[in-house]
Amino acid sequence: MSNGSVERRIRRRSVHRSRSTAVAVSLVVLALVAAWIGTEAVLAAIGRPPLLADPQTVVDAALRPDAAFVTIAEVIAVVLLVLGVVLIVLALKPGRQHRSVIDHDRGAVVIDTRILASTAANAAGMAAGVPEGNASATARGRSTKVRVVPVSGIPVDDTVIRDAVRDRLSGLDERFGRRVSVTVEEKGTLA
Amino acid sequence: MTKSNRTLNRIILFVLGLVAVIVGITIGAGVLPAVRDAISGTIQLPRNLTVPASSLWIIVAVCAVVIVLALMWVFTRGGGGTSVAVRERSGDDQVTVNVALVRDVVDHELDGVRDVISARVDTYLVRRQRAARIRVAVRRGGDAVTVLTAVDQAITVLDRTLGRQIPVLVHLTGGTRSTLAKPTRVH
Repeated sequence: MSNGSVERRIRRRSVHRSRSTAVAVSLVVLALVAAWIGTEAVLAAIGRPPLLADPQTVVDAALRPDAAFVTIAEVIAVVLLVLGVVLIVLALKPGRQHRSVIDHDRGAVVIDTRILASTAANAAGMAAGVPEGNASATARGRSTKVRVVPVSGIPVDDTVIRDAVRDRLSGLDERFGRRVSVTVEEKGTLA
Repeated sequence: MTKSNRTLNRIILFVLGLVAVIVGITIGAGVLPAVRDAISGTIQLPRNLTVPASSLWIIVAVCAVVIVLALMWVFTRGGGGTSVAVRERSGDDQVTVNVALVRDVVDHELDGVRDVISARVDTYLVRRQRAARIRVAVRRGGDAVTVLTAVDQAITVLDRTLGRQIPVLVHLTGGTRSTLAKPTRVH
């Protein structure tokens, strides 16, 4: 069935960020600059006064720069350099979003890292028997860190929590459950 | 999910960035007295240069082409979204299923499931095939496993309703509404 290739494609496209906005913004800026240069050229050709500087003035200033022109040119150069580096970085970096792919029989499944972390925190809180606010988790890639603040008087076993989190995350995809670290805070809170 | 060509987008960004860097270095280095003195032996810059009138019109033409191409690319981006989830022809007859049906089925199946705040469904044309994207907002502190099971159930019902398996993308997401939603207080 050809569902597979389409699903792989849309899954990949939802994990990686689109550069459409960056391309659109830079192309609009390019169009504006081109419009300004074109307008100056037309104005010079039909002998009207320029908007900022006509091409002849710019060429003369570039050949024999004075102090004011050097300052302007350096500012423009720095802005162009920074913009250029930003664009190149945007073009070359993988641009992954904070999402993970889940292996699934039917359909392509993608989950936000935040939801992955909240699932781990949920499992840890259940296992430790603490209120929801006392368990928190962060997920990065395939490793998950869980932090539990125990309720004072009730001991918390971190291996139980680790097993619970591993079981829960394996329900999504067994790769997520492999690296789980649990921190139990020394100080508890009142229930 | 849209039709935009991502490789080409990257190439455009890279080329624009490279041009910007090169122009920036040229401008920045070219006006510095030290650099000008250093290269004066190899490259002889003319003392005077008059811009001929004919070259002005060439500049205008080049600028116009650049503007048209840039705006064309900007305004044709995106696309690929569709409101038809399934279309089937047999002879002169044609059956189309609107995305609203898919939306209703998914909403109905996910209604009342714990930790689900909302579900949004839209359909796209991907490689001339219609695919559905189901974005499910999960409550903060919620459990994605039960949500995913419920979504599976919903997709099974959807497959049965449509009589076929359309490609789907399930996206379990947070989103602003899940940040604002109240955490459950009783287990």
